[in-house]
Amino acid sequence: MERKHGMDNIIDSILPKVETPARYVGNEINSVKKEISQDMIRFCMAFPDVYEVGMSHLGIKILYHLLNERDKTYCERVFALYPDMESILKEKDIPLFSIETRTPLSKFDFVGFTLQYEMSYTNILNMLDMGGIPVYSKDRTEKDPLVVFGGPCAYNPEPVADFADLIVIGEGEEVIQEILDLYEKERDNYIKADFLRKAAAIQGVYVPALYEALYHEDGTLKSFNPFHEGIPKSVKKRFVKDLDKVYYPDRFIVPYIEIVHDRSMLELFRGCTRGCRFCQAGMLYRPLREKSLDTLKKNADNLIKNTGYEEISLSSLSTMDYSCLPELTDYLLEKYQSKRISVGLPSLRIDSFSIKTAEKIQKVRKTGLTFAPEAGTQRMRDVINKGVTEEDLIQSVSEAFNLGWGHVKLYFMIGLPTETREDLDGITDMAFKVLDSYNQTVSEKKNRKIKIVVSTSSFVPKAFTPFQWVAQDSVEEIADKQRHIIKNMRSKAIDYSWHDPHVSRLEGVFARGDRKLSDVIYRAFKKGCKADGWKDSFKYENWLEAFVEAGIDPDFYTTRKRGFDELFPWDFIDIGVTKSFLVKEYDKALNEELTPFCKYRCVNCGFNDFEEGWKCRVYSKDKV
Amino acid sequence: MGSTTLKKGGNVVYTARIKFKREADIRYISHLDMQRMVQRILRRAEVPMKYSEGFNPHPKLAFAMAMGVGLTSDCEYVDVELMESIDPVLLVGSMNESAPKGFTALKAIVTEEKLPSLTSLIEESVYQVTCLLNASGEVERLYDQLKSILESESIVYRKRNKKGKWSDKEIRPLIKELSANTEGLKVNIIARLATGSKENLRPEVVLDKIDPEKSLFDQEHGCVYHRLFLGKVNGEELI
Repeated sequence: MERKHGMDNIIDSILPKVETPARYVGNEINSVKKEISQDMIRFCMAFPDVYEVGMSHLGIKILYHLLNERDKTYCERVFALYPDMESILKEKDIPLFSIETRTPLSKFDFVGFTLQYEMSYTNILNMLDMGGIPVYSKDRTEKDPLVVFGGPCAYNPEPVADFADLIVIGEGEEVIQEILDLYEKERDNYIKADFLRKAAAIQGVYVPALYEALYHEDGTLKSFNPFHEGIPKSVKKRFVKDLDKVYYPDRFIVPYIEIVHDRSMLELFRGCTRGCRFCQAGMLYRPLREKSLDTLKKNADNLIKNTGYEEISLSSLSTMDYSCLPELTDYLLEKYQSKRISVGLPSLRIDSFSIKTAEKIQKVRKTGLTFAPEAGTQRMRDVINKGVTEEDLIQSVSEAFNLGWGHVKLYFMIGLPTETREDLDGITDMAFKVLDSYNQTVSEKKNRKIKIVVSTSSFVPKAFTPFQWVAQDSVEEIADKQRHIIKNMRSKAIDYSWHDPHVSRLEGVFARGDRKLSDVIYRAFKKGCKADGWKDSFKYENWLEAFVEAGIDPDFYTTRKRGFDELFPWDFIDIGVTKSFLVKEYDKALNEELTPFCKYRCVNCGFNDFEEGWKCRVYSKDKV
Repeated sequence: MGSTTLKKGGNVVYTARIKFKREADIRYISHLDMQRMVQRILRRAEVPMKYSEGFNPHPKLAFAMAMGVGLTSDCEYVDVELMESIDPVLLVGSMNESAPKGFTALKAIVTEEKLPSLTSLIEESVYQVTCLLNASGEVERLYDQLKSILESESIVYRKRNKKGKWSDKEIRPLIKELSANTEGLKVNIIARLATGSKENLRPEVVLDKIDPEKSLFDQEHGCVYHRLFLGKVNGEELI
């Protein structure tokens, strides 16, 4: 490893002065060290949040190890700094540097940011700026790194389009390699503009500078077209067809310090067939692709052996839906129970099978149970296509209480389309029915302590969902609904938590935003907005000032109901699910009609026509 | 000594006592993170650890001393309970293969005897503290300070307890040896101090006594703390 520049001593003298210096030192087990050579592509994987959050993210773990499999590529990491470290670096005029070799970001060939969450956008600008890279792509020259964005929020990239050179739409494993292969080929006669035009021809790559957005007088989008011939008019997302053949790391970096998800993560499948109408991931990550049992056994064995983690978590959008879950958990328990390695489930489906599975796998460590009924009444759950009943929930929790659980988390959303007071009261009723069920439990194993944690998030309509046309609740409406629930949710056994409606409002702006918002983000960043997802650093007033100065009304993006004929800023991206399917689902929502899971029978979302040679697998029902 | 530990069902419990050193970047981790790190080294090394019974089973590790953030050391100890005996040389080798840079197991013993706890055995540490003088003319003042400490019969250290109350502590008897050598502005202070559950003195406290006005040493540069020895008063190591 090469750490021989003047900055090194200064950084060493800073580290003892900051909180938890291990965030910045690297050299963790399974981190990658390479000799730097001239012909090497230097890629810096940037996560716009702190180390503990970023290191918990599966996507960058995969891409970090994948890129480092390449001979002539060295992928390093950088995270957002804590305020103490940031102010010392600024004071001493030290640019933001990579963890592995302490190289300033401006010295890399590529700096890649993952867009996990709208409220991290100002952090991206701050990190570019601290790394010595001009934040606007138009201000960057041939010598500056190419700035690449990817991740879930990249599916509506327009609010941050002005800051990126390239944006990857979809799963990254294959497309990132194609981008680097192209760069390798072009490198000797590198001309940025040529490279970007060639990259734009790769499926899943969007080069914002090659497209022009024109607007109507009312602010809605009039047209969105490439400037030049030969640049695709619509950008098709990328997805990996066979998850048994795609690269999966056999090791993860094991941090020295405790991180948010401090365990191995086993990805069982991608996509989700449930079709919940509020859920963006459910639409974006189609089609369903399961890994085979054999692949997963192999992945799990490798991870357990190479990390030394005491827990392996089965992570996917709806883990309980995995076809071979009983076989997989049996395998893991049989092999690893004696070594005290526990198996974790992120959240449970609300049914008896789930409780039995949880009981089986939590023999090693019994943690809390998490359920997501999402809405308080059957009517509301039908609107959002969440196919569970109150009976399912009560039966599940009473079974759990019988088996000795005493800690249950319930997740709901408020502000859903067509919501009434009755639907809100349904949330409180449900929480109390769960408590009643505990009180009625007669069992030897009954837990003496009970804690029910009820959490409501505020619904934010997202692009590419059946609710992309609806009006979002205003801050006042949400605050009023929260007060109503707080008033009724009074019990020592129940903890109620809710989300800051101001944050939800900004999320809403960017979730369905357009290119005009780049200016707002830049102004907010200049006003000192950063780490907006962290309560202590969120500066709502500064954001409002930024909107006023940019001449933009946030309500245009949030509380405005959109017409079916409106051209959306994200319409040029093709995720495989058709707009007409989304319209149909929206209508069915208003009629409180359900759409069944598409795992066993196709619901014609459009994906079967997305790419030649692709047909979604239809699973057999008796497997589950 | 000499009694064998028997657990329920008559299973013999083995104890591995491991001496290790800590250097480089891992000096920045807290004691809690250190415990977790050693557990994971042992798990990767496939050492047959014994786990606690109950709700949240965890391996049974016991360190001689908690290490402060920033401290490097040539001489630390940890005990771990094992389900079966393993060869100590293999144990050391496989731990080092599984350890991150900065952690080195130096030697180990594995026994079915019940060992007295590490915390009950340790009595003393020798520290080396490296600092920078503010000016070369300050060497005199440094030696004067050391001399004055060694010649004092009583040195009182005021500290706040957990409840926030101030209390006075006599620390002179806890300073067994104190010396320094200099090279230009660089100073190495060697301090042999009482360490353990009965009497304990942190080297930071001694530094504070040497430079109470914070005028002698370069505060911006800071001081680097390193433990050279941890063990008994007679200089005897624990394994």
